[in-house]
Amino acid sequence: MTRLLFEDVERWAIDRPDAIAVHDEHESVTYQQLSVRSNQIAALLLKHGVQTNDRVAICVPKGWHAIAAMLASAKVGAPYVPLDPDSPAARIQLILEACQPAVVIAHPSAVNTVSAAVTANPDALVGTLASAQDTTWPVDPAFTEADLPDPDGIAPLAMPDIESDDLAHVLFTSGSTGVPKGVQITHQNVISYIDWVVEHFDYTSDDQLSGHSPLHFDLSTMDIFATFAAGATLHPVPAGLNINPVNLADWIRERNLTQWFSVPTALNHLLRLGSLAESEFPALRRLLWCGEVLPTPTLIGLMDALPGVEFTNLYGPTEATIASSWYQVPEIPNDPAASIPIGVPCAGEELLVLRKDGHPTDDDEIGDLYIEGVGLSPGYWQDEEKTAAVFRTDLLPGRRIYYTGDLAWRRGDGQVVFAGRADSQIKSRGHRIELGEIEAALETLDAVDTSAIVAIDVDHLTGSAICAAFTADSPMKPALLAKELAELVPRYMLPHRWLQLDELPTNVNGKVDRPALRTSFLSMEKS
Amino acid sequence: MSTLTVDAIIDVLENNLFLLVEDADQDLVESGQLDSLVFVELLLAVEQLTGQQLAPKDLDLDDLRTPERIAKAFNELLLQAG
Repeated sequence: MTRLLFEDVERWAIDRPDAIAVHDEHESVTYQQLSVRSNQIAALLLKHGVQTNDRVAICVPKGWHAIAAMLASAKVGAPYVPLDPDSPAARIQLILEACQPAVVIAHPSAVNTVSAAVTANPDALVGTLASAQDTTWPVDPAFTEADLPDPDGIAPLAMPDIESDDLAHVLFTSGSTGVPKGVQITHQNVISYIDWVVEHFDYTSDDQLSGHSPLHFDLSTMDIFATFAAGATLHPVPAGLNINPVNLADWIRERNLTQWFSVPTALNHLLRLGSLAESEFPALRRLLWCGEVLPTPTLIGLMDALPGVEFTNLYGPTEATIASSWYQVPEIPNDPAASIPIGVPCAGEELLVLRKDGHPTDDDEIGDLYIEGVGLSPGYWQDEEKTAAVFRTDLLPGRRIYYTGDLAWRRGDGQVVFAGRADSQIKSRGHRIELGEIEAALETLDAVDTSAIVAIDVDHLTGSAICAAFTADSPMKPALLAKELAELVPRYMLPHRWLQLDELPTNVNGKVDRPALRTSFLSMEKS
Repeated sequence: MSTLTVDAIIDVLENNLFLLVEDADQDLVESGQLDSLVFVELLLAVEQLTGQQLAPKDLDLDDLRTPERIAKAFNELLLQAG
């Protein structure tokens, strides 16, 4: 049996207790402190009756307190469900109704989550790891910081009664029918990947690693657990720097980061705002991105500005755990229009480019991209139908392969290249979005009669723009619709362009003519 | 040199970025409307409006909370850009 997710921290807490595990916006904590705090939280969870395989929902801003809560859940064998504090209550409620957590650990500011929890899970215990007087919740917290047991009085925790192929967490992503889907991830899924990362990228305990991704996004599990596997230091990026990315460059230098890992949006912003020339990063050795295509002009700009840094593209959907393939860019591309490959599989993974009948495509022929191997999730939370639809066991005899919905082709040298989507899922600023989820929410607004959501590519900085066409009885101000929609979907799903029409265009089959809508929105860009 | 009025900022926020702005003192960060994406798009829109490239270094969250503060911060940047 391989190890469970919390075990690396325990190892370092003994071997190098004073090494810094997490240096967040407010403080630095050692491996020993992290171990002790997660033991305290684990004891609290046990005291409140949390059992193996119960869920623990966590809605705490990115930082060491949130990470300690994740480790504590793992220590009691309870999968954690990270929640987005910025998500509207209605969406959080859908997630909580689905995963039915035994306990919700919320930050005092997470009033949305608490309200949703009270409605969705009346039986769940909702508490905070902060002090009671900081909370202004609709209910009294079931526990607070004052309830954490004295570290010296905690009996040693027994190993949880779980195996490495049991669940470590459930990550909810956008669902095309309007209901988020929970991707189940096992300890083994994460450990297999982070062990590859540590070896492949030659991590050492001296590494200073960025933590840019939000905790409900699976890239953050690489930030956190690969850092801990190496005994290195994680630097969660402060929320304030996400408002004005101009100051991010200074922070990367001040923290002596040796690795930056994020979605391409943050890199676009770094380059666009032009502070790289005056802000060299002498310690930086690696720059990694994942989540969507990094525009080649941005890559060229970054490689020009940061000689001596290794640039690696990682690729993979949440369903296959963080990333499944890698491509290290060997030199500055000559052609700004060239595609950067998603590369070759990570250890234990396989990328398959197949025709509809399951036969492999020829070189340079576009096909459906499937993933096979150690990263594959057991499936979606309590949804056998959706699981069976994409985790296919019928296409290739004796094999379980995940249908990504991505299109790809394999070059003659074996490198795989992404070639778009086969459905209406998009990536916008690193967020994975089903356009159907936005459309389902928009249709519920009283002011809207009919609507359709399409995406267009605008420029290399902003990537896909979400466009909403709608009909209504009277002229509607888009900002008003956006406000109402923000009650139902996260802000990153709000449309960037709006168009009110007398009626939506239809094709010969009577369905909404989405290509015509895309053309209309594109012509608005050019005018 | 051009200066930006608060109304011009509100116009960009409402019509280019589709935020709902109730008044010049509204806290856009607290209401979750202002994030890095909006900030960068606002910056691009202001650059387009004024025809000047801006270097918004050292702006922090508090400088950008409300339309009024955004206008003040951008006018200072325009002054620096000359």
